[in-house]
Amino acid sequence: MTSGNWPPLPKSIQTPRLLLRRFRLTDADDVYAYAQDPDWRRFLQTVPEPYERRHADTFVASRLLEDWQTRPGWAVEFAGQVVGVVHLWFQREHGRAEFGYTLARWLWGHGLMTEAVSAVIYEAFDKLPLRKITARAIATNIGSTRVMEKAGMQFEAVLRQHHVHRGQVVDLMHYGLLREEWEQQADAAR
Amino acid sequence: MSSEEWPPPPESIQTPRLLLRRYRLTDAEDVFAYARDPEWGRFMPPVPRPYERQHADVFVAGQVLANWRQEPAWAIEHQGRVVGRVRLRLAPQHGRAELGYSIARWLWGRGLTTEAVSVVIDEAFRCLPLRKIAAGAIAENVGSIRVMQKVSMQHEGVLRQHWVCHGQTCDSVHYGLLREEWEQQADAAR
Repeated sequence: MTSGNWPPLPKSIQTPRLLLRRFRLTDADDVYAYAQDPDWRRFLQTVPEPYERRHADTFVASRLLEDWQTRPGWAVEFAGQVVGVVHLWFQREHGRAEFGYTLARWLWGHGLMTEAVSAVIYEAFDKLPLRKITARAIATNIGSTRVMEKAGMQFEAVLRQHHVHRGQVVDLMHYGLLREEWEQQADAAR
Repeated sequence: MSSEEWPPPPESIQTPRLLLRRYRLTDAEDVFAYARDPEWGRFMPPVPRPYERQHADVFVAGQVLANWRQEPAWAIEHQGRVVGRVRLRLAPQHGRAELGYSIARWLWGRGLTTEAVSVVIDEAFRCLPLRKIAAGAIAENVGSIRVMQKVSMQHEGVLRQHWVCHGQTCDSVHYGLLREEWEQQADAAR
């Protein structure tokens, strides 16, 4: 199935505590506010070090320019402020999507990331002919692996010493959620 | 460290029964002879079906043109004929190489791939500052998994329903060999 045949995912998703929506140029201030925190970016591969204001501009601009059909990415809005991101990319020929996510450090530990991720998983399985959704994290990023587990994903592999991340050799944890597992969860929640 | 700074792996390696060497354009005939067998390509998603003579030409041209320092690929020569391939894909920023291999079906079950793969692993760890060699196979490809086990690679996980291979959904099995594991083996063999 080619990309043309897949419908676009909703550009805005409301959850009990969050609004997921497309990025706007005016979000750069909010992004800079959370991205300045070195602890926030400790486990993220592609975030510049040190983080300057222009990096927030570049990030927001690139999110705006991204083709929504092939690489949707939502700004996570909490109490009127952008505090994170959930984004998806596809391997259509394999019926698979992978997602990535991040949240401002001052909001860690409240289940907000799980809330955002679960909403995106729901939309993706509901709207697209996906067989599987995957995500991965560096093994020491316990907060991130907790999100995957709380979203009902299954642990599939630990690729040992697979990456060099900010000068450190790290293990990579792979998680996956099959459509049938997601359907069972949805049934159980009903 | 960029791969251009890594020394090139040897272009020709002799084993008891095999010669591993760079591809030549004149190898297309031999490649076609084994690749046209549908059983041979059954577990390899990118192999075209039906396999035509031009596919062998394109394959061999690709091997000849590939950058030896980034993706060294050896033709496996057995009794004067090319019967398979071993290749590495180097990820120098992660100190890692991805290993791939295949052999003509009429030679399956004789330990020839294991012989070729072990010597490539030895050369790679000897000449390159690698920390890890990784490989993957479709779960039904028992022959390929046996090769990984026989060269003492460790099982790292199964990515479920990860590929569509010739119309079938397949699990992807991942193995890895760390430098310290390879050194222990080499010591034990002494």
